[in-house]
Amino acid sequence: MKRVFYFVAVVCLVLLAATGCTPKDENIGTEAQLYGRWQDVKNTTSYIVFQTDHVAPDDERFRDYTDYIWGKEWDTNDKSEHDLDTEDFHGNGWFMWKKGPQIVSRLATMNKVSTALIPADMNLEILNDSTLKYTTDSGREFTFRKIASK
Amino acid sequence: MKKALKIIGITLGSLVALVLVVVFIACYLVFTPKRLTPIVNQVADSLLICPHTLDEVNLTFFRTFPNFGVEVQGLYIINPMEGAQSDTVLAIPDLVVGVDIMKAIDGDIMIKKCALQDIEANIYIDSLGNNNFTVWNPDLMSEDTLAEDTTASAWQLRSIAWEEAIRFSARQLSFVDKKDSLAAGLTDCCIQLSGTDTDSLAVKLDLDANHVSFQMKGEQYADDLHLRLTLPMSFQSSEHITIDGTQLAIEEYTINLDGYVGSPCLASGIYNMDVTVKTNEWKISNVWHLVPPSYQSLWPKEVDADGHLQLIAHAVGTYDSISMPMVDAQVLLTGAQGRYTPLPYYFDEVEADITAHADLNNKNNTTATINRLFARTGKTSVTVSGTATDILKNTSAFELSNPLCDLKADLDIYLPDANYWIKNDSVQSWVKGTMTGTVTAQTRLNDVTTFNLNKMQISGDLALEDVDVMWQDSTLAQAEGITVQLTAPKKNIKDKAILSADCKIGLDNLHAQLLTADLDAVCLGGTLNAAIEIDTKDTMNIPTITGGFDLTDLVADMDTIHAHAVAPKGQVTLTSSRRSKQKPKMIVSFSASEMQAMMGKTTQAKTGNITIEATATYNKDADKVLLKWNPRLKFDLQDGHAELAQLTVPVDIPAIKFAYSNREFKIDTSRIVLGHSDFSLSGDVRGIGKWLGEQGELEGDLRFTSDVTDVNEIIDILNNFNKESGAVQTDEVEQPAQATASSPQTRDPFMVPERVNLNLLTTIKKAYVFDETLQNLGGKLYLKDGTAILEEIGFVCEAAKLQLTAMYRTPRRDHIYVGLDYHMIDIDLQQLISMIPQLDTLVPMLSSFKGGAQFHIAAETYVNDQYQLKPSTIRGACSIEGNDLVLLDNETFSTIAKILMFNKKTENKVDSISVQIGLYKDEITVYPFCLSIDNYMAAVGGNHYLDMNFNYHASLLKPFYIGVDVSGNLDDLHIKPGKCRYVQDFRPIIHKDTETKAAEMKKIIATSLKQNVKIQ
Repeated sequence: MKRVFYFVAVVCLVLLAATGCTPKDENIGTEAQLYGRWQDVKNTTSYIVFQTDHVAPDDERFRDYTDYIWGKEWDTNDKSEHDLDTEDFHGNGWFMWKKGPQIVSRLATMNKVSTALIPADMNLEILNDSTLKYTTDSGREFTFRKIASK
Repeated sequence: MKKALKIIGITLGSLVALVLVVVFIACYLVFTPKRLTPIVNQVADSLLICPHTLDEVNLTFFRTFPNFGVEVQGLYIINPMEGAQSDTVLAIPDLVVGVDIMKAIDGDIMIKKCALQDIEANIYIDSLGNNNFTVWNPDLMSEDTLAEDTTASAWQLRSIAWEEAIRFSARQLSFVDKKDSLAAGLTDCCIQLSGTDTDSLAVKLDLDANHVSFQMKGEQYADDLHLRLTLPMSFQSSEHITIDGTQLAIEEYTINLDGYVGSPCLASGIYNMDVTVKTNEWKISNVWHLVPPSYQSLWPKEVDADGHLQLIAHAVGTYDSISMPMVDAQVLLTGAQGRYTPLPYYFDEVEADITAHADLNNKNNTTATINRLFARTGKTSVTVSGTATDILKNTSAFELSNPLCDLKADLDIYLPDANYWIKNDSVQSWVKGTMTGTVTAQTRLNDVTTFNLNKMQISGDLALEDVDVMWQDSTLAQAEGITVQLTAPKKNIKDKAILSADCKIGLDNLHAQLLTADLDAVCLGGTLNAAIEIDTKDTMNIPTITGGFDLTDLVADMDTIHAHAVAPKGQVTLTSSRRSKQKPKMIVSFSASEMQAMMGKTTQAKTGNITIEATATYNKDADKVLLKWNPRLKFDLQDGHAELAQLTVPVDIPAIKFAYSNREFKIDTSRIVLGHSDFSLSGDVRGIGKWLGEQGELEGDLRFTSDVTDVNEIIDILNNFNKESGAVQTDEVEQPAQATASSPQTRDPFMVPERVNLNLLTTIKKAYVFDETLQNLGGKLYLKDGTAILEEIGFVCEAAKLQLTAMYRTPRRDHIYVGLDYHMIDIDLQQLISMIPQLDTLVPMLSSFKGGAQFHIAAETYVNDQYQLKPSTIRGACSIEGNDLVLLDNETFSTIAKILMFNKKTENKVDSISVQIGLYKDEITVYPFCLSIDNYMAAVGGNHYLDMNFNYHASLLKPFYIGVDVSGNLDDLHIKPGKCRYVQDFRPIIHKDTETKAAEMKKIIATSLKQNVKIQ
C-alpha cells in the first residue's frame, strides 16, 4: 500500500512537473533564423524585417524593454521602407520583439504622439531559414518567406 | 520958355524933315526898284543856275522903320524836274528884310526884321538821288572861290543875328524823296524863328501848320493834321543844344520835350542827348485814327478798347553807329475800357502804370516794371504788378528775348464770372461765391509757353467764401470758406531739375453731395494737402505724389449707410524706393480719434482711437503678392465695437495693436470679446518674406489666452451667421454624388506648410462646452517641419481631467499621418460615454455602469489624399479603468439580484473594471476583463475587425465555469457554448506566480499608455 502510494505520488509529481514542460517542436527554429527580411507569401506587398539591434536603454519611451530587439514591417501599398527609416523611425511600423520557444512576443510602437505599445504576438508554427509561419492570438494565420538575411 | 520950345521944335522938325528927305531921296530917287532890281537879278543870275524870276527889289524904310530894309517881290526859282510835284522849287511872293545898315557895313548883319509871306517850296529827290534844289552855281560856292572872294573883298561877314523873329508864312511846303520813299507836306503854315539870346545863340522856332501830311514807304503816317511845334534851342556848343520847353502838338495831342541834344560834328553822325518826353493824355480811340492802316491791322480785331494814355520818357546817352541812348519810359493808362469779343467779359475799368528801361547798347539790360495794372469786369477785378527783365536779345535788331517775369496778381473774383469756362450745354455746371487772394509767379516767358513748370516759381494764397459748386449735374458742394495755398516749386526743393508743387486747401464747413449716388458728406473743417515732385533729369524715376487730409469732423450718408469720423487724418504718398529709384513705394497713414459706421438699424461698427501706418514697395520681379508689395503695416485700434445682423451678440475689440512686415509680424495686443467669450492673441511671427521666397523658415511664437470661452454660444453665433449669410447648414447638405471611375470626386488634403516653425501657446481659464464647464484649458499647438502638433492640451471639468496630444503630418500628399493621445482621469462613466459614444459599441456593458473611471486612448494611422485609412499602418491602444462602479438603476439590480439570488447585503456596486484594448492593423483586440458582484464573476474578451466581424468569448467564473463564444457580425450572429478560456486569468484553479499572457498584455498597454499623462 505504501508503495502504491509512493508510486502514485511520484507519477503525480512527474505529471505535475511535466505540465511545465513543453515538448520541443522541431519546426520552430532559432532566433538567428528569424533575423532577416521576410515577404508575405499571400500579400506580397507586405514585408517584415527582424533586425539585430537591441532597444537602446537611453530611449525613455522603451527603457523597460532593453531586452527586446528592433524589427519593422510595412506594406508597400501604404508606405515605403524609407519612411520607416526616416520620419517613422522606431515609431509607426516598428516593433520590439523577443523570441520565446514557440512565440515571438512583439510590441508594436507608435510615433512620438504616444508612448503606447500594442502587443502583436506571433504564435510560431514554422520557423526555418526560408519560411516563417505563425498565427495571431485571434487565430489568423500568416506565412512569410525569407528574401534576404538583412 | 515958349521960345525955347519953339526953337527946339523947329530944330527937331528940321532934323526929321532932313531924314525924311534923305530917305526919300535914297528910296525913291537913288535906290529905286528900277536900279536895284537889275542889280539883284544880276547877282541872282550869278548865284543861281536854274531859271528864276524876280519882280522887284525895293529899298524900304517905312516897312522896316526905323531901319532900312529890302523888299523883294515875286522871287521865283524854277527848276523843272520830271516827277517833281511842281516846277517851282521856291516861290517867295513877298520878302522884307530890315537890317542895321551901320553894323552891316562892318560885317555884322543884324536883321531887325524879316518876313516872308505866302512862301511855296517844293523839294524833290528822284529815285536816283537827283534833286531839284541844287540851284546854286557850284563855281561860286567852291571853297577856292569863297577864299578868293574873301581875300579880294574888304567886307567880311563877321556875324549874323536877328532882333525880331523871322516870320514865314507858307502856302505850301512840300518834300518828296522818291529814293527813300518819303513825302511830306505842310500847307497854310506859319513859321517864326526868333532869337532869345544873341550871346549864347538861343533861338526859338514856332511852327503852326494847319494841314500836315507825311508818308513814308507807302505808309501814310499823317494826313491833314494840325501840327504845332514850339522848339526853343539854346546853342551852348554844337554838342549841347538845350531844347527845354519844346512842344510838339498834333491835333490835340502834345508831346513836351526838355533837355538837350548835340553833336560834335553834324557829319560825324554822333548825337548826344538828354531828353525828357512827356505827352498829355491821349484818348486811344482818337489816337487810333492817326495810326497808319498797316499798323492798325496788327491790332487784333477781337479787341475793342478805349481809354486815356500818357507817355513819359527820358532818353540819355549817345546815338551813333555803335551806340544808342538809354531810354526810361513810363506809360500811364487811365479810364480804359474794352473787351475781347470771344469772351463775354467787358472790362469797364482798366488802369495801368508801366515803366520800362531800355538799354539799347546792351539789350539784355532792358527791363519793364508794371507798377500797377488794374482791370475790372463786373464784380471781378485783378491788380497786377511786377517786373520783366532780359526782354530783348542783344542783337542789332529788336528781337524779343526770353524775358524773366516776376509778377504778382491780387485777385478779387466773383466766381459766377467764371461760369463761362465750365458751362456745358448738356450738363449743368456752375459756381457761386467769391475768391480773393494773391498769386505770384517768377518765370521766363518761354517756360510759360512750353509749360516748363520746373523752371517756374508760382505761389498762390487764395480765399474763397460762400462757395457753391455744381459739377456736371452730379456733384454739389457748399462751403462757408475755402483757402488755397499753392507753391511751385516746393520751398525745400532747390534742385531746378525737380518739378514740384505743393497745395494746401483749408475747409470751413464743407457740405458735399454726390447726387448720382445719393451720397451726402459734411466736413466741419480741416485741411487737404497735395504735393508732387518729378525729377526731370531721369524720367525713369517715379514721381513723388502726396495727398492728405486733416479734418475736424467728417460725416457721410448714403442711403441707409451712415459714417462718421472724428478728427480723421490721413496721407497717401506714392514715391520711389530709396534703394531703387525705379521701384514704386506707397506710404499710407490714417488716424482718427473716433469712427462710426452704420448700415440700417442692424449693422454698425465704431471704434475709438485708430491709427494705421502702411508702406508698400513694389518689386515686379517677385511672384508672390506679399513679396511683390513688401508691405509694412502698423495698426492700432482701441475700443472697437461691431454689431452685425448675422451675429446674435456684438463684437467688442478693446484693443488691437500689431505691426507687420515681411521680416516680422508682431502682435502687441489683440483682444476680442464675443458675447460671454473673450480672446486675446499676442506674439510674433518671423521670417515671412524669406519663407515665401523659399529661402528660410517661418518662425513664430504666439500666445492665445481667454478668461472665458463659451463654445456653445460661439457655435450658436456661427450657425446663425451661416444661416443669415445664406450658407448651407452641414446637416442640410446633400451628400455629394458618388464618385465614378470616370469622374471621381476628389478634394485636396490639408498640407501642413513646410519650413514652418510656429508655436501657439493656449490658455483658457474657463470654457463652457455643452453642459460642461472646462477649467484651466491649455496647451501648445505648433507647426514644425511639416507637422502640426497639438501638445498636451489639458483641461479640468466637473466630469474629468483631460489631456490631449494630437499630431497631423503631411510628408507627402498621399501619405498623411494622423495620431492622437488622449487621457481622461477622474471621469464619470456616463459622462465618458456621452462624450465618446463609440465606447458603448466597443464595450457594451460600459453603459450599464456609472462611477469614476480613467480613460486613456492612443491611436495613429496613415491616410491617403482622400483621408482613407491605410490599414497596415493603423495602431492604437485604449485603457478604461473604473473603481466602485454602480449598476445603473436599482430596479434592474433588484431584478438580477432576485434571479441570481444575491445576498441581501450585496451592494449595487462593482468593485472595479479594467478594460484594455489593442488596435493593430485591422484588428481590435479586447483583452479579457472581469466583473464580479456578489458571488458571481464573469470575464469577457475577444476581437473585433474593421469589417465589423467579431469574435468574443464570455466566461462565467463564479459560481461555476461556463464559456460562451459569440462570433460573426450583428446580422449573422453565432453563439455557442465553449470552454471557459479565462479561468486562469481571473480565477485559476492552480495559482501560478507568473502572470497570464493576457494580464501581461493588459499591463503593458495600461502602463505604456499612462506614461504620457501629466494631469493629476
